[in-house]
Amino acid sequence: MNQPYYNFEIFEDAFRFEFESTSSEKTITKAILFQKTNLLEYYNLTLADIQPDGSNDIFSKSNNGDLEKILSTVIQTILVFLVYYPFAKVVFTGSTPSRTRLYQIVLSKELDDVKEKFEVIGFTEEKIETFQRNQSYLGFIISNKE
Amino acid sequence: MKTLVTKRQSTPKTQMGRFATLEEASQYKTNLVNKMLAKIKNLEKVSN
Repeated sequence: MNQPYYNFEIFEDAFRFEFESTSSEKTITKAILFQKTNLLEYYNLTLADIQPDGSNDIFSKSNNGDLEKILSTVIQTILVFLVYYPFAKVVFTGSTPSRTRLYQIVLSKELDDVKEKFEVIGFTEEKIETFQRNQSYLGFIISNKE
Repeated sequence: MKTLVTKRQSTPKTQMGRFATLEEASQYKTNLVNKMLAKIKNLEKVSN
């Protein structure tokens, strides 16, 4: 992986991860949860900011100047999750369309590194296909190659 | 004639997207993803 990412902690048999987004101005605790979906072996990934009051915000704009590093960290946690659960398929989307586009940019940068070992799928309302750069997707699915 | 000026109330900050627990936040997104997955499965059936 070429993109910088934050160190993270693993909890609850790798269903939950935490890391800190840091800048000279502030530190924000981020949490990631993998949760079962209605489809067997498909897991949803949720990224949330843990607020000072303990609440969890999935739409917050922390403006810490490190969004790409955060999203690279998210991808790292997916790869770890897939070590724990080799048959899992991780579905993820941004909480907003602009965030989904950023995931796409980060995935594009990481693709050459991950495509040997991992299957990366992009999907829209009309199609599901192997992830292609320069395509717009609603979300992504990453799994180990069989 | 005096003009009645009503002070405009500020819009309350949205709390959309804020959840008491990470599990609740995740459940919200998982529900959305379940809908997406249902569509994906339909797409797969069509393509097969």
